[in-house]
Amino acid sequence: MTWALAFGAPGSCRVAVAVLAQTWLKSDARWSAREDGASDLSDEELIRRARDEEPGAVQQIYERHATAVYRRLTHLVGADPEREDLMQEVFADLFRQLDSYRGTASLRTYLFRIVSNKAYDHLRQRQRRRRAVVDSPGLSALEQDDTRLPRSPAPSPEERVGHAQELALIERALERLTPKKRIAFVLRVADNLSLKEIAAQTGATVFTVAQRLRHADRELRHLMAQPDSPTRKRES
Amino acid sequence: MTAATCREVQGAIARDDDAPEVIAETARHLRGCADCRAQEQARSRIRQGILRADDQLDDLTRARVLGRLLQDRQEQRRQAHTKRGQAGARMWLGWTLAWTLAFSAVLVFAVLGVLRARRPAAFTPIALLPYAVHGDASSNAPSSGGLDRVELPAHASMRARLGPAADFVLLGPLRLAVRDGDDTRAAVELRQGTLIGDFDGSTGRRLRIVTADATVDIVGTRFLVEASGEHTRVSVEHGRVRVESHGQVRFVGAQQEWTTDQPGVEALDATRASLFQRAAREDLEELVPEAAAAPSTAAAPSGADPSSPAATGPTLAEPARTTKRPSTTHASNRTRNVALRMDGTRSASVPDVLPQATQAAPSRPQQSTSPVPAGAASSAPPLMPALMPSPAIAPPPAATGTAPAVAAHAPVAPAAAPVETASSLYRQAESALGQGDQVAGKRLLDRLIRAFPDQPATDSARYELAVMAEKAGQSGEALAQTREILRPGANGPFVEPAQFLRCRVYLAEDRGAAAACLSRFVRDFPGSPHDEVALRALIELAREGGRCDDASRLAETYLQRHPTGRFGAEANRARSHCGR
Repeated sequence: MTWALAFGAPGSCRVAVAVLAQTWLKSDARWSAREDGASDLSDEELIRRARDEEPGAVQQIYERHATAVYRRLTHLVGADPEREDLMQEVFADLFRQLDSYRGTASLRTYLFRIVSNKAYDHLRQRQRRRRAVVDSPGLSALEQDDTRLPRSPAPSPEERVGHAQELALIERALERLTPKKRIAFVLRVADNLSLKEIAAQTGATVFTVAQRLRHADRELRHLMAQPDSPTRKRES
Repeated sequence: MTAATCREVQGAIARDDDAPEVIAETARHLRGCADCRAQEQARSRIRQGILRADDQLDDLTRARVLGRLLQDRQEQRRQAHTKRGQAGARMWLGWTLAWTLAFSAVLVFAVLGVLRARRPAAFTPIALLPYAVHGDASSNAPSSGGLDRVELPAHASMRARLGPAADFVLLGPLRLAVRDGDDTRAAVELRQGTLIGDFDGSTGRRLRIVTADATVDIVGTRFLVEASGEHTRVSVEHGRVRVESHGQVRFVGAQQEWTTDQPGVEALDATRASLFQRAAREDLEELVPEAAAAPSTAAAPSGADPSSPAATGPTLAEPARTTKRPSTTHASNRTRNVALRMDGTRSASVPDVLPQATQAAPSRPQQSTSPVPAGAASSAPPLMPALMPSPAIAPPPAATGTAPAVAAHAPVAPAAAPVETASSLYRQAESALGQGDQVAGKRLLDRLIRAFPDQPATDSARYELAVMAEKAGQSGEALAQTREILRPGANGPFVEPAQFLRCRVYLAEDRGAAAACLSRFVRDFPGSPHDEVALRALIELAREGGRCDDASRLAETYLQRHPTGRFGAEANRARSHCGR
């Protein structure tokens, strides 16, 4: 529509076009438009260059995968304020282990394996600290920040309250799952991974992952129905 | 469908083998099964909830993490380089040393033999470092500044350190010499007097005290050795010591004591127990209640042994005055911080001795810092007969010589303020901004930039200030901050976000500048996550300026770089509209 207007009546629509372009740019400040950089180099080539300590290789690897890593971390641990530190740890681990990366799996898979491990450690620590879910920003915290959701239409106050309550409910339910079940469930439901992929990323067998998923699904449905009931916390 | 089938179908979440017919059956079943639909809806709600969380990585976080990673990596490289260098140097050094040793071993042994034969008996690699003196004391000092011999008259006492592990309280009349020692072992000869020692033998250090009739080996303990010409008494508060005397060996344990003329070990006497407690208070005055009574002239102390070398040896040019460690809060008019000075040829060493000793005072924690009430010294029971007050009362030390008198009780220095670093300032600013206090956050960031203009956190602070300025409509301030980030030669992680921010600011102010800025951006940062939007804006600006060819070329670039990009359809339309 914007482009049609611009090309149809260039003189009269110049201001409108400029304003729209500016709006896109502004909204893009919080976006990560692309997961893959424009570089044509393959991951393997970048890894080789990073091993040889060629300048820029590490930055390119980071730029190429940072968004995906951050997104996966958010799904696994929620909108936790420590995501930034976790992401740094993930990449620090990757760069530290560059020499041991043999290329049997893609770099993204390798990275996601580190992400799963970091998320597991973090969730365990969080549970150990017994951080009250209501005190943590969790999933609902950033929902209230319109600037971070440029693509969402502004909800009405009633909708916002409803969303916040819904998210708090989900958040509480997820928090009551054990970290292993939570990770398996999120990878399956939110990221649509197959059982084999989940098993590869979590270091468990496919059968174990399936068991975790069944338990997580049943517990979550139960918790969503009775959000305040205590949950048995046992590892599958 | 039965309930079991329903569960089975719903359980497909835990299976990968969903055949098309199973999926179709699931769909059919869901249409007719309210329970299953409810379950599916619950799962869908959870999925939506997870996906609704903001998972977009913003520029600040992205650049900040990258900056820390690069810094981390640089540090790792530096450490690895250092290690490699050290390894190479070690190898070279090892070979050199091996050859050198092989060829010169005989010579070295010969030289060592000669040196050993000629070595003076009182060779003392380590020496006593006194850090507090009470009463009159005389001592000689080697050129190194420490003492290898101490002689104290009656009523005098001294605190001194011997090596890194031994801390002594010496009570006069006393004659003591350091026989031998280094950082791992030490031998002290106590001819006369009382020595209260605190020795840390945890790292394998050993201390030996030799008296006229006994040899006391200490591994690590708090002990007291009292020597007279006839016998020796060894008391132990903590730990255990080995005493050898006249061919007999006794082990004296905690809260025990043994006198060499007694047949067996006895329980610790109350007098010695009290002495331990007082020594632990680190207050010499309490140990020697009438120390101020010591003569204030350079004359030989009345209680000194006339036969002792101190009587003829070097003496203090002025009476020894008491010193106290600054942390002691006990108030007493008779206790002052002083600098001791020796006369004659050795005088030069003494101003060095006490300052050094004071600085090198053992850092072990104060065992008791409770203030002693005024008058406690005089009311305290006598520690032992030799320490009973002398009738010769000295004038107050205020009248003493030319040594610079330091204020009686130096005020305790206030606790040092925490060192402000770029990181700490940045954390404070983040905290303030997180609490919504923009003014305080901005002030802290400004302070960071002024105080640490070249730190890694500085660009992060500048970028945050630029974003804040842009939001507040202060384009000049935003451009100024980004200009600093983009200074010539800059190559940090904030260069790309700052350049993009600059383009955004220009777009509101100056179209031409915005087009130039964006062109530079897509040229310099093709891997940027903003490349897609920057290209799209450039195309729009080209269209706005009526430059259809440019718009078409940019659309071509966009489609090459982002074949599956969000604006692909629009780029295609732009390209075809311009006749390509």
